[in-house]
Amino acid sequence: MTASIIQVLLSGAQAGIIYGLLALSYYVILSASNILNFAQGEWMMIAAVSGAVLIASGLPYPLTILLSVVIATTLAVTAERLIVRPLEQRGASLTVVILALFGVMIVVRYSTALFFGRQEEPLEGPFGNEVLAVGDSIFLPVQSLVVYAIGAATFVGVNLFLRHTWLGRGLRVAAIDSYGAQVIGIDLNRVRLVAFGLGGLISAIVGWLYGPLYAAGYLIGATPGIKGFIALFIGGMASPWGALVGGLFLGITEVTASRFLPSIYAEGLAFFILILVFLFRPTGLLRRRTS
Amino acid sequence: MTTATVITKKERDWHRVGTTLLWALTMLVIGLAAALFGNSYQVTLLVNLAVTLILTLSLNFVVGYSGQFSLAHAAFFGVGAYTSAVLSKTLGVPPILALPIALIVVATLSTIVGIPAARFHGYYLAVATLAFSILIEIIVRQSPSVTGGAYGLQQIPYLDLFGRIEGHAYGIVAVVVFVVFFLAHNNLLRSRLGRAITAVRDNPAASAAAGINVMHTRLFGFVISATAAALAGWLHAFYHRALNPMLFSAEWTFIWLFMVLVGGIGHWQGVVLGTVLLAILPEFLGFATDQTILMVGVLMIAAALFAPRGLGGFLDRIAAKMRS
Amino acid sequence: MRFAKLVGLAALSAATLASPVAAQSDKPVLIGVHLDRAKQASYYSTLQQQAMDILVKQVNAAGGVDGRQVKIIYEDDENNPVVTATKVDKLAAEGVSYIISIGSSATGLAAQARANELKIPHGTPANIAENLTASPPKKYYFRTALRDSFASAAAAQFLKKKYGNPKLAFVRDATETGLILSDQWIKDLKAAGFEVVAVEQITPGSSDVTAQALRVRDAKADVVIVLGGSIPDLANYTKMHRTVGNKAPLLGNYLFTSASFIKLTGPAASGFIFTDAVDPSRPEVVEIEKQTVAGIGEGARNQPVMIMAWEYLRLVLDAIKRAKSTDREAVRTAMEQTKDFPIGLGPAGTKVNYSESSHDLFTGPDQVVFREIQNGQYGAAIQWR
Repeated sequence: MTASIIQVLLSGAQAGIIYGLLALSYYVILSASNILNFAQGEWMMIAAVSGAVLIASGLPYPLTILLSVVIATTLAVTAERLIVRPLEQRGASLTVVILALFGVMIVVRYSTALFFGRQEEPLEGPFGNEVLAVGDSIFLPVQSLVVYAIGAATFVGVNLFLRHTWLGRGLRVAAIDSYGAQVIGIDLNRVRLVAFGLGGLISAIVGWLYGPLYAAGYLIGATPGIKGFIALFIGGMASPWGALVGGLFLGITEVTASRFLPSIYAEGLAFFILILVFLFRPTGLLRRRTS
Repeated sequence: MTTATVITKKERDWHRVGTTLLWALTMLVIGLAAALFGNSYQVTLLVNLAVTLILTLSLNFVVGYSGQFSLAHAAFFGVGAYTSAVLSKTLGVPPILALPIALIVVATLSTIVGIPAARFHGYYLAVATLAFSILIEIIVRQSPSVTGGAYGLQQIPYLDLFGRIEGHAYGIVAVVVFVVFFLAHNNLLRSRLGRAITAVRDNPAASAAAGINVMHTRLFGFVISATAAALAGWLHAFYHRALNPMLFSAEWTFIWLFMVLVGGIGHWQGVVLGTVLLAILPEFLGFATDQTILMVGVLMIAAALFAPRGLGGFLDRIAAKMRS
Repeated sequence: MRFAKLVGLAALSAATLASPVAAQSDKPVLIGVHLDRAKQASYYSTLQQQAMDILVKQVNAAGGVDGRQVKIIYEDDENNPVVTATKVDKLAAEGVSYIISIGSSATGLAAQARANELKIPHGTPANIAENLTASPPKKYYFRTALRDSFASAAAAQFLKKKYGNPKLAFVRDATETGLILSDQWIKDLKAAGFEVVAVEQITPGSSDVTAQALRVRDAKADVVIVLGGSIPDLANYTKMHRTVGNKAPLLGNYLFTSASFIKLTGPAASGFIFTDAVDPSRPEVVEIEKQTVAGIGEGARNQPVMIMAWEYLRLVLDAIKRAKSTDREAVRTAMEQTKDFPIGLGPAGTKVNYSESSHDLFTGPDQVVFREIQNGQYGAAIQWR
């Protein structure tokens, strides 16, 4: 029994951190610019897919990771420059911006199918695809350790960035009061650019966490993308840690359900939990610290 | 979400009645002509268009006029269609009777969803309604005994009104149903309730001060839009006579939202034109049908960048120019 | 607003009067095909489309059918049954003599519903859903794909012969294909007397399937049947299955012949057995594969769906030739009267024999081919009967 619980926590934390990081990428953009960017999952996909392509072309592995992350982040920033910024400057309503980003999601996803093909390819993890076994009831893929480590590092890193750097604080101020931010001289355009870039970067990193566990293919951004913002709203927008809380809660609950109940219930669980959260605790699981 | 303004002058009001009747008559005549003289493909396009128009106008109503970003539209459409189908196929209810029952079912469901939803705004509402929509799709797909599961429902009975209604006859039914809906829709917009709905959208505090119950008004806007989606579901079910859980896919809601955007959010004339254009045009653009979904994405971006006010905005500008 | 009304009138008129129906030309033989261009079924659709294009080129180069060139009109069904029905209408309006479904089973069902009403002969090389030819029989529908209930019946025979009375576990993904297939197999295998000790489901996109693998292992199944449409999820399960130390053999169906399954699974796929309609050692199959590889390259190797599509189109064109006409009723009758038509599907010696009561190529589980993955390759048929 204890072994089962440990296994559930290990698996749940792996899935949860992936959800949490995607939730964080949504959070960064949403809080700084009030835009819910549906295309976030696709940057993750681009990082994984370009990673697979670059590996196949013979590039040294560390360079592959770096280059694919750069490509995905660049695309994210390009989308902001070419599409979001002109829309914001024209005073387009939020609905229009969101629909445009939904269009970006479609274009990125389906043109990848044209260039990369419709087949999924395996993506090799930084430390291989071995699975460590403890006894016969606890199984830990090496990639999970990568997920834990990189996940923790990213959360801490982003938090430090938001608190202690000039750019980061600009993001936080814009989140609290965009007009006031402008008054004290913060350039909202630049803030938004940084937000999209950071969100894209986080997403791209997830590509190397999730890709080796699943596959690299044009459709892989769909489900994690949705689970990402579900996790965000479960955890709440009070702080970046809300993304982690929501992600972990979602991941662990899903795995628990799959482990102890007939797994047919697992699919709708995320949405069901979100609805419960909205009904009983709409601001999310994490309480807002009054500071 | 606030691109249309409320007009309250009486003379403008009469002009609007005239406009509505003119539109209704035009669409009725053209629709009937298409239903009677078109081949089976054109009749199918016509019925699909009627269904889509009801969906986009009702989505435009809840998003544009009521100001609530609801992404649950596909769910209400699907529940309306499936309720009609299950009632007639499994329970032997005559399809014509299935209509009021399906409407009541969806009205009830949307009230239950709408009461908590009325508290939410912006993203929270969008995400909550999206989650609800996806959850419904999952439940339908995983309940083979009731809904046919992933297989869906086939061989749904024919609509029977003094004889089996199919083909051209159904085309006529679809046109008539749509025109009746259209008249009711415009009537609602001009009514006191309709104005209350847009007033609440524009300024909830002032509306409350003027004695309007904000919660009830928003709920009403939500429910009436959902019920219209159910009507579209009924109309769809008895023409195609085959349903599938993919009907509930949230992607549909985004595509309808896109049509509303192209038409102009909160601008029904634009939405009618936009829907007709987007529904009919792809049939003539042979080169684009190879990668339909990709084209849709590109068009979404292009529409947002170059025509965010949509056709409605374009029409407004022309009308303004003609007046000056 | 009067201007708006005029614009509206013009748009609607243009829509109705400018008909997209092409003028019926006497020359080409028109075949309509609906397929998924971009969504989840697009992988299989594209392969079948490529095979058919290569065959059509060859046929046309040799003079066509009775001197008439063959032309295929493709419509994207977006893997959506509603869109499919509309596209079938469109193909009908363009005057096709036959409609072929090469998308998912769900769209195949929708196409069938509409084509039957429009009285157009139609069918599929690869859709296996049971309902397509189950009662009531569909007059205009002809299939060469392996009917799913035969695959499960053959699996029942195979399991009995090889394992006696094994306890079964099912693992599926939550895609439409996964749910339809597994419901059919569970029903059929239970009816055949097997005990089903577990049914586990994977949400597509899951990064971790340890929970499902452990549940299956703890249920102590003797054989595990894996069915679904999302290859990465099923590949993950196959790997985890071995990792948690489950020695139970794995059984699946032809959808596992997607090249990425072996790539994603690696050595864990060894010993995976699946049901199929194609025996790759048959000379007919080898010959067809030569043509497809010449046409599109190595990507055509070991793709049973390409063989299925090729043979089906060949059958349809032969029926049109026999009918000596492109009239739909004549083609339908000619299809129904197909007798002793040799075909490269199933075991050696298989012939197509349609009749008024049978529009399926496969008439029983004995014709089902079983293959095994060995050493990272899709092996030839295994003889077990």
